[in-house]
Amino acid sequence: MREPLELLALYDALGPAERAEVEHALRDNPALADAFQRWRSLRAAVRRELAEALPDRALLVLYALSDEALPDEAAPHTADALSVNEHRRLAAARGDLRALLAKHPGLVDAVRRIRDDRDAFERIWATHTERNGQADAPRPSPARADDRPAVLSRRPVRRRSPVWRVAALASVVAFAAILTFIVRRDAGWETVRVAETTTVDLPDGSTAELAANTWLMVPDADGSDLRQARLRAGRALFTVRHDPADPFTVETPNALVTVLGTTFGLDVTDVETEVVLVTGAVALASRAETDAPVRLEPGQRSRVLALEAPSAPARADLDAALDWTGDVFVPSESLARMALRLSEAFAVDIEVDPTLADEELSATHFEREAGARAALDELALALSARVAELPEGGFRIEAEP
Amino acid sequence: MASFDPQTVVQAQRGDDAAREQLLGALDPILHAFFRSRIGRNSQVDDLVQNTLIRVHRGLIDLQQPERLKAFAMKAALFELQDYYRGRYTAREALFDPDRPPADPSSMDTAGLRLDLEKAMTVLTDHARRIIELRELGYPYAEIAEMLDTTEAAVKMQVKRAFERLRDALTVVLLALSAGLML
Repeated sequence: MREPLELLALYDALGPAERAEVEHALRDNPALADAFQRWRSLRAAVRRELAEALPDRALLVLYALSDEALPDEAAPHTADALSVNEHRRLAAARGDLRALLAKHPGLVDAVRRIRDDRDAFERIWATHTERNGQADAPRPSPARADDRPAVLSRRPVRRRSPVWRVAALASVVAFAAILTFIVRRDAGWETVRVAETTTVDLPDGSTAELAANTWLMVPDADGSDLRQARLRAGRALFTVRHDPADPFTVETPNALVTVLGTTFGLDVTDVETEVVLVTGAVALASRAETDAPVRLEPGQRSRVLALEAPSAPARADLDAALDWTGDVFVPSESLARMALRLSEAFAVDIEVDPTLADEELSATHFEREAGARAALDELALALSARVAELPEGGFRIEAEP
Repeated sequence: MASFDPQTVVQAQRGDDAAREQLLGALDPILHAFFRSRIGRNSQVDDLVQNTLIRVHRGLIDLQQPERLKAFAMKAALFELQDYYRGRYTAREALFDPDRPPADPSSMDTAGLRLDLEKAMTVLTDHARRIIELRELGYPYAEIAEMLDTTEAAVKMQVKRAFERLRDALTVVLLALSAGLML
């Protein structure tokens, strides 16, 4: 175990367990806590000063790529990768940058590091272009390479006449064009693309029902972390095996969904992720700010557009959002209202015992193909009630005698 | 026609989808190799490649010298790498939230105890100061060690010593205050 002072000094590089240890130690030692607070203040002040002095890190890159000599360099750097406009931009900031470099030795090291990065890029470029004969041989698109058959267990799902929504964002077109190149099969991941609505068994025991043309990546069954998936595009309804000690995560192109065991729907494009939560709890965050999630309650929806923060959770129309599954979704509400929804969904009369009408039930969903009786039996079970068939047709949920 | 041939670049600039596909498809493995060489087999390599290609895609129309595609793509990758260090990809550890009150506000607000940055930095050695600046620029300790041609353990030892120096300096200030020597 590391000594306490080292843990405090390197707090920024600690894992959760060590941080908990530090925080516990600080509670018992106010003097140390005070010193630690000052240490953190100092570090934050350094960070703020650097950020204020150099709000645009691109300038540091331009400086590194220019022919400017660093304070301790005898000869100027000769390679110059800048355009005319970039030279002008740099010229306007040159005086300030020189002063900054004189004051902050860390920035000088950063400039050197960027020049190392540049050299590494040029070496890799040369290697690739030589190996590929100027890279002129057409290679199969990585996206197409992803289309190999997946090895996961799949179950085609009933019916389907999905109602597709037309994406309205013009920028999607540009993103879609470029993203065709960047998709490649990562080691340790299986890619699933389905032509019709299909339920996929995930390696950890959870399931994902995928709409047609959805593109999902799941970890190999022999991988070390099975509690994750990547939804690249399309719509999916996840039913996640409950394990609060090991949250399941779904990564989309622009968002991160952390799941504690629940049923939720995702609608994903390159630049937009929408979550509707049926049961349980999920946390949704932009991938640009994974430490600032919003937490959804059952029956709520939230959306991440591009790399913006998630929208405030709002009441979702579960039935509309998950219409493509063909199932019947109901939010948390009284038995009377739930029965009314089921009556409309299954086109059948449903009566409710007045003594049960105000009983609140949590959000849930029912397979339409299983029929009204199966749905009502589930509700009755939750209330320790029973379902009776009416002589004239239909059903009645009544209290057990 | 070669993927990086200026003619291919010009065709891509004119909206030729096949040329653009050829160009970006050829850049993809180079960018993957580059980012893996800089940050290792990190799960965020895919994001870095994706955003670099988006930068190239968006900026291609403004590239006035098609023969300078390499420099153009390199700058896009270096800008993206700086964004990575700055913390756009993963919320970097917030060492201190300025909006968060200190654990014991009364101890922080005592007159004379608020060390300003200049005074605090004079307590540190130049070497420690470099390390802290690099860390606050977002570089991991392992990379800082590489930049300073030393080991990660040596870098962390410097940080620990810096913390000890600051704590000792604070103790002197506290003693002086209690003796009425400073106010």
